[in-house]
Amino acid sequence: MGVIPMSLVFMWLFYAVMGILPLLVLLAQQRRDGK
Amino acid sequence: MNVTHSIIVLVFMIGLAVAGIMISKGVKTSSDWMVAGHSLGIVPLVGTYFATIISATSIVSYAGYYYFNGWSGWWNCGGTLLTSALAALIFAKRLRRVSRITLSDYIEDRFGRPHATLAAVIILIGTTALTAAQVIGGAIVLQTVTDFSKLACTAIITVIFIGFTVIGGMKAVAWTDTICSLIIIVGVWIMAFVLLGKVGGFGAMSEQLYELDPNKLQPFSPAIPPALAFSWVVTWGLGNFGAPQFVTRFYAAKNPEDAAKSQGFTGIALLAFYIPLMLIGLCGSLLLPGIEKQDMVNPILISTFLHPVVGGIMMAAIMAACISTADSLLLLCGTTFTNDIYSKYINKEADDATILRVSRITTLVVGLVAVGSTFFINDAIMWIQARSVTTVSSVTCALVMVGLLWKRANAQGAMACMITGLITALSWYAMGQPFNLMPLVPALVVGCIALFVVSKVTAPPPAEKVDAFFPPENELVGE
Repeated sequence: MGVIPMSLVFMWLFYAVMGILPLLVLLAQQRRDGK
Repeated sequence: MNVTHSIIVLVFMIGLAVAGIMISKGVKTSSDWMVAGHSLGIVPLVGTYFATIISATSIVSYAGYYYFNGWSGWWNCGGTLLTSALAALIFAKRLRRVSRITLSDYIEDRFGRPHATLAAVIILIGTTALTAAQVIGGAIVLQTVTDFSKLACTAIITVIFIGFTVIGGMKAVAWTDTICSLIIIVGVWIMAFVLLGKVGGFGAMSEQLYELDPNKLQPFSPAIPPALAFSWVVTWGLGNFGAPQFVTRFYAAKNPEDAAKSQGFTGIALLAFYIPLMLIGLCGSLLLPGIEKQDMVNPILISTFLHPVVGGIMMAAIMAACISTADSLLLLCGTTFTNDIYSKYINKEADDATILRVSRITTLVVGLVAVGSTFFINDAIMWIQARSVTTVSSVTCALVMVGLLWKRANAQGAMACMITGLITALSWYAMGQPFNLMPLVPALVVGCIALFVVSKVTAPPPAEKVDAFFPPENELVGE
């Protein structure tokens, strides 16, 4: 696993944020609004 | 021909048709047929959006692309994730605030009928060619699996996907798409686990890839530099907002909140598809190096490494991707003609039963024309379909995004945007796509400039054109 460069890890993080963050934001808003 | 593959694929297709027809029973009105009566919840919305965006090309061709390019090839899926992220956070809710049916409806409400009609004509031409291309692709996949003749394969696909689309409309399409989505995701994960097991797991795979070619573990490569990667993400990420089949799905949601949330879940569904697909491509490059054609990578891996039953599930997943994209496009053809042309120009007084009947007849006719044309004008179809997504989006995507973000955008600016966007996209194709840029990028830039400048030098849009899309500030806080 030591062969994986940090730049690739950052790319994975970028995709994880783009794929997962919007849902987390929406769920947090829903919880805040009490819906 | 592999008999097990053939049986699994044919059983899947028959099962899908039966499910589609059973779901169709609740369709009573034209609204039920076109947008499922604005009743879809999160599950079918995610299912139908995902299955519409993932075509057979996505499974077959992208796995081959990752096989050759390693992780840097993954940027080709960045745009689809960006679309869902932006839709979830901004656009889905704003579009769904108004209960309409098509992208042209939105354009008419926001800018005017001439704009909507121009968009509808371009959408109809492009979408018919896209539907035909999906039929061609499906027939090739089925022919590969079963060894039946091209005519027989085309007939089977035609009966199945045209059948439930004509009868059940959006409701049948959405739920059968959801079944297809499950098959697609299960199929690619099973295949990824099998291949990953053969190379010794993720760590061993990464080490072997590093020894084979360190570039395969880099986020960018000589073949895919940052500029090209960025161009893809922008092109598809923004261009998908001009794709009418996606806008219609926002309108099918039962409320604005579900439209937005479904896009949030779609981001996760897309990751759940692209991660195993990447693993398939990477493992394939280690297990079976030397495959020369991109489109042959996945079929060869399936036939070489998978148990016939698992291979059959994977072939069913490819067929599912094909049918689920084709049915959505066909539905769009029928909806666009009936809603945007027939009921606005040909028969303005049509009652709901007539509109429903015309929708079904149009869909049947367009479906048969699309299928029939695959036997006579194959090259022309492929030429149009290769350009149709970009061309349609070059006319419409700026109107969706800017129209929902900038109150000052008006009808004159929108018309300037549509014309300059279309001319720029077609010119870019004619010039051979300079700088390796996809035509949508310059079309979007030129269109947005035209929209901004012309809107600024002409009168602001009337309040009734804008208010529905821009609620009071206190309502926007919760978005």
